[in-house]
Order: sequence, then C-alpha cells, then structure tokens
Amino acid sequence: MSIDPGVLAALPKDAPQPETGADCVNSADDDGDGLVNEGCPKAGDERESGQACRNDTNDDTKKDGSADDDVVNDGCPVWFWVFPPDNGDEIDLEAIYGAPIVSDDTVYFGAYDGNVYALDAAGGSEIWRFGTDAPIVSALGAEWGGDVQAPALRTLLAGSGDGRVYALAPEDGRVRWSFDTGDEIWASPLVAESVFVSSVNGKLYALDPENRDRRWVFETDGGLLTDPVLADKGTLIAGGIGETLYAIDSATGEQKWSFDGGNWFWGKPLAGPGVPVSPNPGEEVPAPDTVVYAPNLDGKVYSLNLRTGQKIWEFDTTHPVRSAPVFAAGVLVVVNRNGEVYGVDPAGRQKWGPTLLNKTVLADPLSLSDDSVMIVATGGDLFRIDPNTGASSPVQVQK
Amino acid sequence: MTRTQPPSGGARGNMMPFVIIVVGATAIFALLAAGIDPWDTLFINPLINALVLLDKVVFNQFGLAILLFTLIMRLATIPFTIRQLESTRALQAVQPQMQELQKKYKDPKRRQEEMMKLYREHNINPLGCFMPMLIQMVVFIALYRSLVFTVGGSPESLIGLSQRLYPIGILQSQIPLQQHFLWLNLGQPDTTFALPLIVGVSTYIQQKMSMTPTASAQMQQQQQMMTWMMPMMFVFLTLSLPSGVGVYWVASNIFSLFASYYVYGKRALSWRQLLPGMETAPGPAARAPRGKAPPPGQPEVANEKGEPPAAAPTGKVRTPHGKRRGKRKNRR
Repeated sequence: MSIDPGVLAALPKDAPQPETGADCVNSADDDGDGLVNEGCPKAGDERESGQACRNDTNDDTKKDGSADDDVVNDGCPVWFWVFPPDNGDEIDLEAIYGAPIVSDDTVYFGAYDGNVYALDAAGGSEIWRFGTDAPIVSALGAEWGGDVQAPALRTLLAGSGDGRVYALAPEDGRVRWSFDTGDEIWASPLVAESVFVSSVNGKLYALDPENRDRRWVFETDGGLLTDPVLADKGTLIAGGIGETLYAIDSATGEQKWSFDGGNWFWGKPLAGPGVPVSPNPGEEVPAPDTVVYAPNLDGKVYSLNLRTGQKIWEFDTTHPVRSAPVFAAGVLVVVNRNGEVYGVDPAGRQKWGPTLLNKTVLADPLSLSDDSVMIVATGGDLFRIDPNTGASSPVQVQK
Repeated sequence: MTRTQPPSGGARGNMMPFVIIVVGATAIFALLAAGIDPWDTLFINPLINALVLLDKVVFNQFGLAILLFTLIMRLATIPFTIRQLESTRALQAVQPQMQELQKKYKDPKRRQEEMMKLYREHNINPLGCFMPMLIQMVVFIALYRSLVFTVGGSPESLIGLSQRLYPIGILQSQIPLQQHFLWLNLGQPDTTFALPLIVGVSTYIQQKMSMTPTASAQMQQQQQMMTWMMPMMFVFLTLSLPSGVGVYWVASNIFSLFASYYVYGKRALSWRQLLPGMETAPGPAARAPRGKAPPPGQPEVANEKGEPPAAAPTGKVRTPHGKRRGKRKNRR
C-alpha cells in the first residue's frame, strides 16, 4: 500500500520489512507488546487478533544471517500517524515537495497549499501553521544552534512561490523577517554564514541571517532551480534552467567556475570526497579534494572537480535525473525520473543497474542507518534499495 | 460584373495537396525510422518554442502570446478560411438549382452526378470546409499538448519542457512562463465557468455562421444538431482542459467572425441569423435568385429528359466584401 498524495506519514524508523507471508490485516497493538500486526507469535507470547498464521518462521534476518527480531510473522509495519488526519479536517496539502525537518519532537514542513506546518512528532497533531501567498515547492531551510551533540533549531526558512523567503520562529511560527526576491522560489534556502536564497529569476541572494540585509547577489541568465549546496567552506554550488552549474564564492558572490551540462540542472548536487580517476589504467593521479556530483535533466550525472570545475567523469542514465544522488555503502545511488536506479562507484563505473521501479521518481532518495536507500516514488510508493546489489523491495506500509 | 472564374487548368494547383501529402508522409516515415516521434518533432516542439518566443515578444505575458499565436496562425491559414467561406457562399448561391435537381431527378445516382456537375460548374468544393476545420483541430490538440508542458501548473511539468525547449538562451531565459492572464490560470481549467461559457457562445455563433444551406431536410436537421453539439462539446472540453486552450479557441472564433464579415458583409452577422431555432438565413448570394452562369460550352442544368430547367437560375456569386464595399461607394 502506498502513501496517499498530499499526506505526510510517519513511518517506523528505517521502515522494517514485513515477514514473508505476513497478512496485513491488523494494525492495532492489541497485545501491548509495542509491535503491531506481528501475526502469530512464538509459543508463550500472547496471540494478536486478526492475524493470519500462514508463516511461523522468523525469517526477517540481518545481513549476517542472524535473526532480526524474536517475532515470527510480524507482518507489515504501520505508519504511526498521517497528516492531515482522516477526521473531516478540510486541510488539502495538495503535495509536499521537500523533506520535513524534525527537531525537539516537532515536525516542520512546507506544502503546496502555501502553508508551513508544525506538527507534534508523536501524534501528528498540528501545533501551528503559517500561510504564504503561493505554493511552497521546496524543503524548508533551517538555522541550527547549540553544539553538534545537541543541535537546536533556531530559525526555519521557507521559500514561497510568492517570491518571499520567510524566517520563522520554530516555537510559534512567528515571522522574524522576510525578503522579497522578485520571483518565485523553487529551491530550498540554505543557512550557513549567510542565508542563501535562489529564485527562478536567476538571482542568488546572500542575506544576513539576523536582519535579512543583502550581502551580495549573483545573477545568471536562467532561473535557478537546484537547492544551493555549500560544497566546502567557501564554495556554493547552484544551477538551473540556463544549463550551467555555477561555483560561487560564498563570502563575496564572485563566480569561481561554471560548467555546462546538456540540459537543465535541477537535482540537488552532492559534494563528496574525491577518488583518483585516471583516463589511462594504471596511471596514478592525485585524488581531488572534493568532488561535486551534479545530476542533470539530460540524463547524466556529472562528477566535477570542486576546485577547478573540470569534469572527471559522467554517467549516463538515458533519462532525466531530477533526484539528488546519494552515497550509501560507498556506492553512488542514482535514480532517474523513469524510476531506473543505478549503482555507480566513485570512479564513475557502473556497479549495478538499472533496477527498474516502474514508477516516476522526482524526490531525493534517503540514506537509512542500515546503509540501504529509501526511494519515494511519485504516487506514494516506497522502495528500499540495497546499495551493494541494487536489489529493490517495496516497503509495505499500512494505515 | 461577373466574377472571374479562376483558371481551371490549374494542374499545378491541383497537384499541391498531393505534393504536400507525399512530402509530409515521407518526413513522417523518415522520423519514425530514426526512432523519433514525428508528432512531437514536427508539431509539438516547434509550437512550444514558438509560444515561448512569442512570450518574449509580448513582454512575458503568456496569455498575450497565445492570442498573438492565434492571430498568426489564422492569418497564415487565411487562404483556406476564405476558400471555405466562399465555398459556403457558393453553396448558398446554388441552393435554388440544388432544389431543382432534388425535384427533377429521382434516381439518386443521376441526381448525384448532376449535383457534382453543378459543383464543378460553380467551382465549389463540397469538402472545402474540411481543411480549415482540420487545421483548427490539429492546432487545438497540439496547443493542448504544448500547454501541458509550458504552463502545466506544477514545477515538475517543466521537466517535460526541458526535453523540448531548443537550447537557445533567449528561450531558456523565459522559463518559467507567467501562468496568469486576466482571471485565468492558463495551465489549469477555469473554475469560474466564465471561459467555458464564452467558448460555448463563440462556438455557437461560429457554427451558425458556417452552416451550409442544404436542400435535404435530413442534412439540415444534422446541421442544426451540430450547431448545438459542437458548442456543448467545447464547453465540456474547456471545463477539463488548460484555460490557454480555451483562450485560443475564443480568439480563433472571433477571427472567424471577422473573416465572415470580410466575405459576407455585415448581413452575415445579423442577430436574426444567430437566434436559436431560426432557419439559416440564406447568404447574400442565396437571396439573389440567380445562380452563376455556366461557363461557355457547358449546358445549364437539365432534367432527366434533357429539357432545360424551368427557371434556370442565372446570375453571379457575389464578390468578396471588399469589392462590394467599393460598389456601395459608387452607389453613393
């Protein structure tokens, strides 16, 4: 079962796999053991109601082959809550484009209905909402304070189709400041030493996080679509409709280099450590300090040297790549719009793929703590990808 | 003044549609063989890029770009439109003779032959009205597909546009396009029902004006039905299609009104003719009870016995409106 469009669903962490033969008919933890729908328990445990005892093997194993849990036929994981709830509330989110932010037991996200929502992470109830005048089609930005061990969310940043970026207080959604970019904002704002906001009018602004003062503006000919990425301490990466990817000095707004792709850059670039890649086998070359992996709507992912902007390699998936690539278990996992998933090693060689999901994929994949990759397809289907083999399995969830 | 008959020996002119069809079919097969979608390559992609370019011309107002596109499209196809209207007018002019033939020839085959002869004599192409209609429908469908990509309503629809937009800076810099025009979101159906209503009314008027008088009661009934069916169909289409398509259709219908005025004169726009339930008023030429004189050497319409018609209509098909207006001036 998939997640309905326009719904935010809270799933069990790392989305546990259903056991073989599980029959997802019961979604209540009616024996009070913290598990739902575990079907037929082992001897001595209380039996859940509604289960179908077709499988009595504890066959959800870990990678080393040992038993993953002590429960047989533990069925399908259920989502904890959905928002908006099915209680006749007349909220219509229409769509959610960006990944939510979770902090202090609160979930924050922006929706296509133009609102920023804060929900209670435990139960999904609404704490506050803030309305903008147009759809929000990117993830919220966040300014974090505190230390690494206990980061604290200080400010939320929402870019809206009304052209403004709003700095909101996480506690109550109060507007601290807003800034008008003059055109729609489709990319997620980024907070570092400045707040970086790009707009479809081709301008990238650096704003003072405290008072929205404009520090610099970088102008291009085409609309900027990618979420700006701070690839290292001083280099900002952004691209868009003009088919050009730019590296910009984050302190001054000066262009460092640019790279022309075959089509628009829209997927969020990924910065990662470089590996030595020589065009001649056996020849030793120094590894670039940092590499930018930039997906393009021409179907390719370009690997670029962050310092020079030179192309190291390109990998062609043959269909537009809108999603950001993600590293998992040392493999660059790339999924294109047609739902074809590829595993690429850091040297640009295809490791596996394509794994066909037969779904349209636009959202960025999520790297899970067990090294697997979760892909959310358009329409709400979830897939787990093993980055070592490329094997995919649909994630069964139940309301 | 008798209207000059166009040169009949237009072998080159008669070959033109054939040449177009052969060239078109060859191009389509060549594209298919190369694994390229001919519909997209020949129609959709050029149309998308033309619309984006027009958007640049009209200062980023995509609604105005659609109107400008409609005007250009209709001007480019004006020869077909004029031919259709003249064909309709000529049909109106020969109605008395047609009725005469209906009465005289009971044998359907012979009657058909005589009617075709009559068409030839008056240079009437009974299928002449199909070409403008065909062009309009092709543009309508192509425009619908183009709007899905250009102003699809959601950001992800632009991924399709990225695969179709030519890599020219002036085009790329226009994206994303302004979706709002008047009260409309051009990429979404009009929820106020105002545009579907305007589409329905303008299509009804257009249908009424393009109705061909016919001697057959059955055909007349069919035409009456079409007068209602077409507007209804377009109303329902507009309710579900992007508003930009409706804007095109309304603008196209208004252009047709002007074209009709040019050919028929202002009597073609009489309110009496447009009222529901009224019989189609005969066109200006039809009111003149004279048909066009057959070319020299050709017999007038004769009955099955070879007798000359009792009241063989003679006369002329009216000249286009511009010329008629000149006559009015002379009268003054």
